[in-house]
Amino acid sequence: MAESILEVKDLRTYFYTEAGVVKAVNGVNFRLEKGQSLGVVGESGSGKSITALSIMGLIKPPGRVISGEIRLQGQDLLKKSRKELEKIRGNDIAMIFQDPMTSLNPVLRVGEQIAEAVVLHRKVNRKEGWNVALEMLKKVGIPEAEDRIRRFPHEMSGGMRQRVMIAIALSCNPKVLIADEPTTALDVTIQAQILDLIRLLQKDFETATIMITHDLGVVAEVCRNVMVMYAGQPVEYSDVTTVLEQPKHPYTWGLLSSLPKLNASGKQRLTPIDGMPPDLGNLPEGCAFAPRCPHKKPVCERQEPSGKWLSPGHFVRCHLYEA
Amino acid sequence: MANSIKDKIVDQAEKGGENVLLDVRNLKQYFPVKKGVLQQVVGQVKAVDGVSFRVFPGETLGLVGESGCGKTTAGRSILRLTDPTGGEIIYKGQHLEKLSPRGMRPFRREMQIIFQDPYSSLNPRMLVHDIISEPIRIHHLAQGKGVEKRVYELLDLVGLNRKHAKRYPHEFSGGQRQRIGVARALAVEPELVICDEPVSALDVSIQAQIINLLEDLQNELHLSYIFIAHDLSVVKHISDRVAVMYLGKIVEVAASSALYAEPKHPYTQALLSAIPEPQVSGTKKQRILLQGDVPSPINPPAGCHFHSRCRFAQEICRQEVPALRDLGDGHLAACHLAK
Repeated sequence: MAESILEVKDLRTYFYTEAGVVKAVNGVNFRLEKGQSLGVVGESGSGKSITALSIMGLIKPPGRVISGEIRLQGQDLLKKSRKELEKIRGNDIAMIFQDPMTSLNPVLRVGEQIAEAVVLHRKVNRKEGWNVALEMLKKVGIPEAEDRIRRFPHEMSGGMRQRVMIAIALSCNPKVLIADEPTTALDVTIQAQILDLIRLLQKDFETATIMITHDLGVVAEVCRNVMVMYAGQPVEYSDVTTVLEQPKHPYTWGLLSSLPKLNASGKQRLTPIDGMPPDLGNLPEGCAFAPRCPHKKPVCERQEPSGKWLSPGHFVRCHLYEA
Repeated sequence: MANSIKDKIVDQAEKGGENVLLDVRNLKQYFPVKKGVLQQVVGQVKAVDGVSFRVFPGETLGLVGESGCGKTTAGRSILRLTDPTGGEIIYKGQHLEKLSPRGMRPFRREMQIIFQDPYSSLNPRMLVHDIISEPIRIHHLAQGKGVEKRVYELLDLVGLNRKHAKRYPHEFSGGQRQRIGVARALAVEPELVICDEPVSALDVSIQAQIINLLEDLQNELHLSYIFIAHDLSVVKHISDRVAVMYLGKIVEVAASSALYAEPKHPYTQALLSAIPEPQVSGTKKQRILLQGDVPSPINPPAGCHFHSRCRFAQEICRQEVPALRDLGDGHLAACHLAK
């Protein structure tokens, strides 16, 4: 086995609201190797973004990480003080968000925003920071970087802003990059440009990437492994080919058959998943997917499936495979 | 059965049949750009710049394009939600662009719209019952007990529970809200429904539920749809014919299967090649990467609007605006070079 960079064990993040405890992340496990790319897919409310924020140490009250381990090169991030975390965040782990407009500072020139991270983490002076910023803007494919570096975010298009976000995230050469729906707000042609860039940078920087998305097409483009999440838990984990072509979990089946296919010939009716995702503050007993599952057995409504490795590298949490 | 009807519609559309429901000719919608204390007009945003297409009874016309291409604006000006700057909108032989607000009223009943965001398109202070019955009362389609009966019928039709009538929009999920929006649009028994990104805000599993609902309703009630969306796989799935827009103009129109199998316009080709598909093995399609961003609609490039990003651009493209030409079988493209 290759060297593991990030290892998450039994991560649970709950939100203590007035209406009750919302179990947003409810037992997530995975490990990420150097230069590897993991896609985390699921619908809204499946806990994929909260998993990312938990890893970054960005969960705010009423939310709390109640148990688990997040090991970055062997060190448990959950045991670090806030000061120590500040050194790690942006340096060893960086994150790109969905909306590049709200995550950039509107009153700072983009150059200063990149240089800020560099000056803080690499202990260089502003002049050098500015030079790194310029170099990064060129690396992420921004034309006329010498001019653009002095611009404000509002003077740039959505695709350009996302490139700036990527430049900031990669400026300190992080070991892990978490991208939370990085192309959801972009048009397809711009999305294609950004996905190409992410793939290129994965090779160049050997950064391990966690790609959070609801789009299985995006996963097929940039990820080697996929974790499918439902109601705060991983329900299936494997390499991307297995998940897309031989999925085992009924939820993954449902997701794939809900999608209109581009290469379908003639009109075929879509097969949606019945019902709605469960209320995370009031999860059903047993398997969380059981109420919507066309293959449910009596045991599914009584007992939570513990999950099983069907083969090395293919994990499924479903009673259909538990003997 | 349903398929053969659909085939007939496409056939008719390709031959330019007589039976046109909506005929949009050279539609223009400009918005003034104002500047300074005196609010002088310094330019025009040409959101829709000479768009022509037809909709036949019972068909779904897909309108696709990237953000800012004018697809939503086109939908809104057809309904006269904004007053078009120029062009003709002919619905069943009637010129809508000339009508007064009062004259428009009977047509408002026949043409409805479903919006993208089911969170902001429903009044949060109104009960579902009131949301759905408002159009019925405005158009005097039922009285007294009849209103309630009709509301229940509509709730059944869109797959909601009758007891949902006494709830407020915030008590529903996104998919259910979209069903309420559909019920409201259908309350007045329209013939043409403009669906403006009706599933973009929904998760895939819910998205498929709404798409199926829209298809069922079309078969049952013989509706015509203009389906506006940016998701090309969804548009392909639901549409009989598809029109592709770029920077305020239609660049290509064809039967859905023909457009996706053999796109003629370089922009359509690039757009289709950019869609990430959830498959790993098999032949990977060659991606055509477009350089740069969409130019500003205030000052679009001269000649063909797409020439600044087109890999085939030649001298003629920089000078002359290409017309939407029929390349055979009702496959239209606005490109000097397309064959």
